[in-house]
Amino acid sequence: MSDDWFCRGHAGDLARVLLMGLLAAAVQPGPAAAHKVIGMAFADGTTIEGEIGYSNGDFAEPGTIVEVFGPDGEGLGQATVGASGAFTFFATRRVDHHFVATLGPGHRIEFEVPAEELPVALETVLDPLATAEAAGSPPTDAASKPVQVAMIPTARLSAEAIEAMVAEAVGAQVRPLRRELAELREHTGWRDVLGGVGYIFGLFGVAAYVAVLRRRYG
Amino acid sequence: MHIVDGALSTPVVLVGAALAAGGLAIGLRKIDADRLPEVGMLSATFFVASLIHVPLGPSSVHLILNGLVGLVLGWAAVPALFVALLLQSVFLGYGGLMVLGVNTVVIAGPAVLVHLLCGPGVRRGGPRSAAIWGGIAGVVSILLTAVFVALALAATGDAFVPAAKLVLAAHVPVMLVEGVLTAAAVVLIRKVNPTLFEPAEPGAPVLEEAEHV
Repeated sequence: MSDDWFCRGHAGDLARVLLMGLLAAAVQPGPAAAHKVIGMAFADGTTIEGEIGYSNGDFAEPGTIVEVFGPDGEGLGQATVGASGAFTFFATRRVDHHFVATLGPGHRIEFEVPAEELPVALETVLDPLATAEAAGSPPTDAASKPVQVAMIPTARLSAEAIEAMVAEAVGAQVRPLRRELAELREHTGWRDVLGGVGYIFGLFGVAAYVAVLRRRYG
Repeated sequence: MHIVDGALSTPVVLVGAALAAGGLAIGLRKIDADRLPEVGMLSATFFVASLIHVPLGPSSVHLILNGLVGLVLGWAAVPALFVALLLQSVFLGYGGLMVLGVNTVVIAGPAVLVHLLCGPGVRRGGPRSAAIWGGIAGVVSILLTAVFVALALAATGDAFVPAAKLVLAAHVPVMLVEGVLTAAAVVLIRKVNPTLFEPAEPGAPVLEEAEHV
């Protein structure tokens, strides 16, 4: 792999490193990618977990601030990136969550968690009556989730508790798949590069054709 | 390079688009119809080179090759690089359509400047002086690209000096690699096909003005 190439070249002089690096890239441009910022986030109950990094595999710097906005651009709060580019945000409203992070000059990423991914229970909490019942204890972490459920009238308890459990179980199963899908979507492979080259040749081929026609027919 | 959508303010984006449009108009007018294949080849070369990233030290870099493209194509480098940048943004999500103008200026501007600065040195003189001029072209083109990026960021609101330092530091390895590579390419081209560096003949049919011939 590319790391291997680099390590072997490291023993030699700089020129050899460069040469081997170039060769490695020429031989296998598999993850052919420049430094594009990639971000994704998924909801698990009221907890939104996300990751930010670069397309070359580097993670966002710990301490990077992720700002969270609602559907109308109102600020919902912010999260801080920890180790491995990961961050966590606790949703208090069932609305579209719009995440914006700036990773130094010129590197900016925006992504969204739609309202549908958040539990219906959050709408109940926002309901004026229910909010009064919840007495200002918004679900801020996983531990407070049972408390919130207990405050909902007993008639709805079982149905919503089951719903939450199912959502949690399905979420845990689906999360790795979604992450893989997001990574795949950002992946630039052989086909993309060759396709682009084909388009360029085709475009200039058409231009050459037009030039020939012009010369022939004035 | 590859500034993304949303990172720059609207005036910067508009100025970039206007400059790129002007450059494109000049470049299209200067393309010699007989040399269209060269323009396409170099466009494809840039497209591929700037997608392949090479592990170097703790991070990785990718080539830009705008110096070489500029040396060979002159003003025609603008359409060549524009087409490649357009495809990168549409198909692969690098950069973006809004900032396409700025990215074109950032990449193609140095190409044209390097052509004006180092072109004569590369064409004339012995192989050694041509190689030196080629090396200078490779280094200077990346240096100018980094400065242009920093300027675009500074015009948006980032402080110029820190932004420039960051962008320059990130581009130092590319600068060295491109210097060596461009020098080598110049020597090779002069040996194999020296006509590549010759400017279009004054009377040669030109794409936009073919009807006058």
